[in-house]
Amino acid sequence: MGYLVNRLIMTVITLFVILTVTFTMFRLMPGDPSVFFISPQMSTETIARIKAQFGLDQPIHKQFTNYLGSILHGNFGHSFFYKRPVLEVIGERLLNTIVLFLPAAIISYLVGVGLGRYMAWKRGGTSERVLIFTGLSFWTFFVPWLGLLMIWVLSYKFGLFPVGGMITPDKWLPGSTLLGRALDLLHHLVSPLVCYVLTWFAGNMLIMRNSMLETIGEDYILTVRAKGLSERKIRNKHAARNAILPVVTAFSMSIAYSIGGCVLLETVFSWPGIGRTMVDSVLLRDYPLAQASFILIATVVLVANLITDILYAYLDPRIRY
Amino acid sequence: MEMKKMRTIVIVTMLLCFGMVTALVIPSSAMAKESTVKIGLVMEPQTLNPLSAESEQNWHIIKMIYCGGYIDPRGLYAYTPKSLEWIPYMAESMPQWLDDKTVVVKLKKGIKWHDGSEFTAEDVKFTLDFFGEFEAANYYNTIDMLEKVEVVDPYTIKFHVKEKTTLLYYRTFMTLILQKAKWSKIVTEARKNEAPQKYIFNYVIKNPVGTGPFKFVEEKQGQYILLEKNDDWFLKGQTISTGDGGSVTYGPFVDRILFKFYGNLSSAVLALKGGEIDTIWHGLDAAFIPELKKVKHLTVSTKPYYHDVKFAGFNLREKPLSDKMFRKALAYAIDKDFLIKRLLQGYGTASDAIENPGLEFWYNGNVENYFRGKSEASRYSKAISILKEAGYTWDKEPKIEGSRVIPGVGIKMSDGKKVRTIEIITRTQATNPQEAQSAILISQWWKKLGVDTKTNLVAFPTLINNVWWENKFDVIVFGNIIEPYPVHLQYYFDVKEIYQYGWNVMAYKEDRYQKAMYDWLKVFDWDEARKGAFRLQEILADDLPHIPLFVLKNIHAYNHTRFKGWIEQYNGVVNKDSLSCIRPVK
Repeated sequence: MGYLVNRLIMTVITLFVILTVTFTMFRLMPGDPSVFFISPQMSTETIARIKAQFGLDQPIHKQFTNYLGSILHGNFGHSFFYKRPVLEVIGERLLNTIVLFLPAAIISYLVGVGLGRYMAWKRGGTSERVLIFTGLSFWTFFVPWLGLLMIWVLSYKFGLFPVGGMITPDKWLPGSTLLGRALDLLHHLVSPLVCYVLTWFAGNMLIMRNSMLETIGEDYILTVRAKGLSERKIRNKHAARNAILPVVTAFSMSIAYSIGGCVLLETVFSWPGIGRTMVDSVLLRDYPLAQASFILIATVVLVANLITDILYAYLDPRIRY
Repeated sequence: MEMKKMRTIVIVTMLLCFGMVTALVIPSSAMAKESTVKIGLVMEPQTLNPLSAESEQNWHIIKMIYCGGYIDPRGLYAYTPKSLEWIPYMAESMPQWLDDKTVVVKLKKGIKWHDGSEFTAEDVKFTLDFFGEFEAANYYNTIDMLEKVEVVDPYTIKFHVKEKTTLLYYRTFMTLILQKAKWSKIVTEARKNEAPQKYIFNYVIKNPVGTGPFKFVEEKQGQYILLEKNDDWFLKGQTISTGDGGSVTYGPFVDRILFKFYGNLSSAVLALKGGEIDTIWHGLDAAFIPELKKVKHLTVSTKPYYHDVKFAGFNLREKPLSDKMFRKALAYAIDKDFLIKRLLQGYGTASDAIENPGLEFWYNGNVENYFRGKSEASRYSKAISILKEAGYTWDKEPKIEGSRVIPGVGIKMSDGKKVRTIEIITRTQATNPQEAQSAILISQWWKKLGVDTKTNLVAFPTLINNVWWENKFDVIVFGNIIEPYPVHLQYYFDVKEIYQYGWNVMAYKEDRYQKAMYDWLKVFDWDEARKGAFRLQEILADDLPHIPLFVLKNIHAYNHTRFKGWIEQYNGVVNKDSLSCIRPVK
C-alpha cells in the first residue's frame, strides 16, 4: 500500500514536470497563436486588447500560474483552432481513438503472445522461420504505405471496406437501427484494425518467443514434465505464465509508442481520433489543445506503467512491494 | 483445447465477415433514396461560426449555408459567375449614390432565413454595427469605411461613408450578413462577458441559420457535415446571365450535400475513384491526373486557374533589396518556364503581373516579364550588365561562356560592402510543395549571380510571425490571394498598410503607384477601372516589390455519371454555383 501511495505521488510529480516542460516548450517555439483572432487591419490598440482577452499579453510565469489554476479547476481552455473547449474536442476524439486502438492493441497482444508461445514450443521448425520472416516484414513496413496499400486493395479494387472514416453517414441518420450502426462501425474498423495488428503483433511475438525459450530451459519445466503433466499444460500454465512478464512490460510501453503509430494510422484511414488532432494542434500553435493532448498522453503512459507494476505482483507471486 | 481455439478463431472470423456483409446490405435510410452529392474535404472545418472560421474548407461549407450561388456572394452584392461583374445579390438593384458620402441600397423582398423569418434591412444594420462594436477580425475591413448605417425602411438602407470608393463594394457590400434574431442574443451575452471578443470568437454555432441554398442538418465532429436543400432559396428557379453569353438556372436540384472529411488527399482520391464520393473540393496535385483520367465515371477539369499568384516578395526596408536594379537582376535569373514545365508538370501558367492570367479582363499580359523568349545565357547576361551598371562588383564575376553560366562569387554593393546572405523564407515542403521547391530553385539561380542565399522552410505560424508580425525577412515565397475584383492592387501595396501586422509587408511606397492607386479606387466605370488596373500592374512590374511567379491550374475531378450541369469558373469546377445548379443524371 505504501508503495502504491509513493508511486502515485511520483506520478503526480512527473506529470507536473511534463506539464511545465510542455508549457515552456510551446512558448519557446517561434510563431504567434494570435494569428487566429486578429486581423492585419486592426489598430495596435485593438490587437493589444484582444490579445489581453486571450491572456497572451501576460508574462510567461503569469500565463503558467493561470494555466495551472485553470487545470486544477478542470478547465483546459478553448482550442484556438476549433474554437471549442479543449476537453470537448479531446473527449470525442479520444473516444474514437479508444474504439480503434483498444481492440487493436488487445488483438495484436493476443496474437503476438499466442504466436510467440507457439514458435518457442516448435522452435527450429519451418513454421518458426515463416512466422519470424512474416512478422519482421510487417514490423518494418511503413504504416502509411501499408495502410494505403490495404485501402487500394481492399477498398478500391475489391470494394470490401470503406476508404476511410468511422461511419457511413446515411447509416446513422434518424431511423437507422442500433444494430445497423454497430455493424457499420465494425465495417469501418476492420481495415485500420488489421493494419495495426499486422504492424504491431511481431513485437509481442518475438519478445514472447525469446522469453519462452529461456523459460522452457528452466529446471522446474523438467520437473513438471517428469511429473507427467501434458505438453499443453506445461506450455500454457507453467512456461507461458512465467514468460509473459517481459511482454506485459512491453505492452504498457507499446501504448506509449503506439501513439506515434496512431497518428499515422488515423491520418491514412481518416479516423477522427486524438493522434491527428494532436499533430495538427502542434503545427497550428494551438497551445491549449496541444498542451492538453500532451498531458493526456503523459497520463496514459504513467497510468499504464503503474498498472504494469500492479500486474507484475499479480502475475508473479514472488514480487511484493 | 486446440479444437476450442479453432472454434474461437472461426467464430471471430465469421463475426467479422458477417459485420462486413451486413453493413453492406443494410438498407441505407433516407439518403439512399434521395440525391446526395458527396464531397470529400481534406481538412475538417474548424467551426460553423463565421466570425472565427478561417480555412478555405471551412468557408466552402459556411458559404453554402449563408449565401451560395454567384462568385463570392456573402451579402448584398456579388460577381456574375463568369465575367465577374458586380451584380445585386440580396440587393434589388445597384447602389444609388445620393452624394459622395451617402449611398442607398434597396433589398430584394421575400428573402427568407432558414427558420422562415424574413431577411430585412435590420439584419444588415445589426451585422455591420456588430462587426464594428466587436472588431471582428475576419470582418474588420468591412466597417472601417463606414460612418453610420441607417435603416430607412425594412427594405432600404442608407450608408454614410467616409469617402466614395470602390472599396465599399467589394468589402462592405459583399460581406456576410447575420440573422439579427439569432445573433442579438449572443451579442447580449457577449457584452456581459469580461472578454467579449473572446466570447464571440469561441462561440459554438451548433445550428447555423443562413439564407443560402442549403440548410444545416447535422455535424459529426471530424467525420462529416450534412446539408439539405432549401426550397425557399430566393434564387431558386431563376435563370441569370453568366456574363459571357451563357446562363445558369439555380436550384438546388439535389436533396443533400454531404461533406466527408479525409485525413489525406491520397485516401480521398481513392474514395473518389471508387465512387464513395462524387468530388473533392480541393485542388488536386497534377500527379493524380493520369490515374483520374483513366476512371470512366470521372471528368477531370484543369482549365480554370486558382485564385492565388505565387510570388517572391522582397523586404524593401534594407539594402540591397531596396535597390530596384538589384531586384531586376534577380528577376532575370528566375526561370519561370522551368518552374512551370518541371515543377508543376505543365499544370500552371507563368504570371507576369500580380493578377491571375485566368482573369483575362483584369490581367495585363503586356508588362515587362524578364524571362519570356529569353535563353538562360541571355537572361543572366542582362542581369550581370544591370548589376554592373548599378555599381555592383564581385570577388569573382559571373560569366557567360556560350550557353553556360559560370557562377560568380562574393557580390559587393557600390559602396564596396559585401552583400549579406539573403534568406528566402517560405512554408514547408509538406504544407506547400510548390512554394518550397520554388524557393529552393530560386535560391540556386540567384547563387549563380554571386548572391549568397539560403532557404528557410518554416511552419505557417512561424512564417506569419517572422514576416507579418516582426517584418524579419529578406525574401518571402508565398501566394497572394487574388480577388475577382483586383482589390489586392490596393491592400498589398498601399503605403497605409505599412505597419506591424500590415498587409504591405514589403514596405513598398513608390509615390507614382500610390497616386495611381488612389485615383483608381475612385473609378466606378468598369472599362476605366480596367485601364487603371493595367497601369498599376505596369508600375509594379517595373518596380518589382515582388516578382510574380505563376498560378497553378485548379485541378478538379467529379463524377459525371451521377450529377450534370457543373459550371467551370475561375476558381475551378467545384464551386458554389455548381452545387446550386447541378442535377442528378437519373
